[in-house]
Amino acid sequence: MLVMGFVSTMVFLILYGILFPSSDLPVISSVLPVFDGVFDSGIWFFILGAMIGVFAILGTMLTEATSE
Amino acid sequence: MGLITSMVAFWLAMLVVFILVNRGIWVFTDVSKSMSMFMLEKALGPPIDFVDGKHGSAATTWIIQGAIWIVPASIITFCGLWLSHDPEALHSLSSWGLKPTSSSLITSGFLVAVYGSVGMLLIGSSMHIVPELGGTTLATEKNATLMSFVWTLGVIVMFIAANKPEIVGIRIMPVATLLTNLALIAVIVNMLLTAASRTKKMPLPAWMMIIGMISAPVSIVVLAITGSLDSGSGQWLATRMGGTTFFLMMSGAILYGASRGSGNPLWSRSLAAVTMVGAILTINPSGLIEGEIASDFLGISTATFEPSRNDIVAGSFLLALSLIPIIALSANVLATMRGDDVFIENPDSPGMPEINLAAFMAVPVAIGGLFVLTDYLTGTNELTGIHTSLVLMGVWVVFVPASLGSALSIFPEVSGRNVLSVNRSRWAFWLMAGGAFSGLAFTMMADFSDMALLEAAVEEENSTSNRIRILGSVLFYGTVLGSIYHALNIISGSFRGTLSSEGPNLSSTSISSPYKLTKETTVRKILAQREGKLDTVVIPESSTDLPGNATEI
Repeated sequence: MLVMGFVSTMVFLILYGILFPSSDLPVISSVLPVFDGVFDSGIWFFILGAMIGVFAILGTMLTEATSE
Repeated sequence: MGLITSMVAFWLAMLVVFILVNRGIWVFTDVSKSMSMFMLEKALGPPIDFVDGKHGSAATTWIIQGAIWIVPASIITFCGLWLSHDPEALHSLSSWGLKPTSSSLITSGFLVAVYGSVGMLLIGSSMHIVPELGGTTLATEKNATLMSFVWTLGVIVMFIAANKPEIVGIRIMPVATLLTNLALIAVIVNMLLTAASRTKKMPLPAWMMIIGMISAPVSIVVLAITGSLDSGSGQWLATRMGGTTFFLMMSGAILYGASRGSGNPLWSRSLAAVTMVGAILTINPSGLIEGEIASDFLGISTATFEPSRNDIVAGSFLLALSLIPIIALSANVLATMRGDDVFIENPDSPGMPEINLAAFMAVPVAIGGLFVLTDYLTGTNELTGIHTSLVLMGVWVVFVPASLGSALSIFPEVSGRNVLSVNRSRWAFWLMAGGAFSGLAFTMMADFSDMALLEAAVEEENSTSNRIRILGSVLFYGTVLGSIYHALNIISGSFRGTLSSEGPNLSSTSISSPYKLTKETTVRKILAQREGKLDTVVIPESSTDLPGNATEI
């Protein structure tokens, strides 16, 4: 499913580029400028990794507590 | 009051406490026991029914929360180290009203590590060690479990206070002090009730933990009574006595953990006694060098540190003497782990590598602390530039491994289950230990570089130091990963780890067999690698005390 999703996304982006050259992507092109100057340091990559770890702990607690 | 007067008052107070704990308080003993028990359970009303009171639940709750606290502690410290070379890295948080700086993050990371992880792991361990060594059960599991959440709330407030000292004109740190002390006093009373119901002579590690806990409020009361708290020397001494509290508790936990984890008896009872008495009689070099943190905790104004000549002489002397209990502890732990032969019995057992690291690193870190503190005490201030890195090293390669190692070694007994995977535990150890040691060693190198340039009055920016700091902070990220691994391993283990009666799950991957390169070996070594079992199991047959008769033919 993940591979299919990735391939279809790539196909969609390529098609969009061919059909509407030099046009910005809808929605995404409006959202991305919001993050300009926000994640402009390498520390955010590390914080992202730590956040994945924290969510892994929360997920583990939830799944372990609710599984039979 | 001078430093030595305050210390003498502290020694006398601890002696009185020790006698009272052992002898009771005359005819009031029974009344105080029943009243304390009432205050710990029924007086709390409905909240006490929210928690589980089954055997081992208190220790498990404290240990799991302590292990989880290592994660935010390491993340905050990592961010603090990163901001030391890139101060604007988190400037985008200013849109939320947050302005984190390197020093505020490092201080809050230190507090979260000490009170959140080390404190909770040690208190959790004591809730198993004290009853176990006293041949009894914890006086109230329910209250101890409930207090863990109060303590956690206190640590959260502490973290906020370290980054934003005042909110709407109210100083936040005293609130954290109030919450943690509320929980601590409940835990102390619980421990005293447990000790009072002991059925056998309690060995020293249990006393170390109890006396360590009690020394925290006693030291502050003594300093307040002697009037030292208003002076810079008194506030400095209060910070040092905080180090004594954690050192004593850590000593008790690590001695028990080393013996229980390795299966060897404690190597020397005399050295354990030297550790306990020495820790009280001397000034411990652990913790921040300045007394400012003590004044923040107590909500009093910070006094200038102006020690008298007598204070300097007495302080330096007692600081130097503190190496004796530290060396005694280190030697005792290492010799206990080694046992009678040349190798550790079960080196892969979760917790043992951590205890080994802590015992090994305690002496060099203490010597470093001794130099820096003496330098600060005498007003020379030539080495204070490395003080932050040294304090962090003390926390991350001595106190955190020691408390985590002890907790891991008793975890199967308190929770009834082993950690999920021994292999993951080993990975977590290497990530944490490697990340903390190498990351902080590089940071210390950068500190030395900055100090050298400062001394030479060079005004240009030190680019070499900045580059080393980048390396140091990136390497410290290993500690973040290791702490996440440990937390996941403990949480999953408490739910579906193998039962403690069945032995630990060696590996979640394919690595299980020892990697042999030797040509010849001995049966002893093969057995130590878990390849076989030599112990002859003797199963007793049914027997009777009735006198025997001649066999009828």
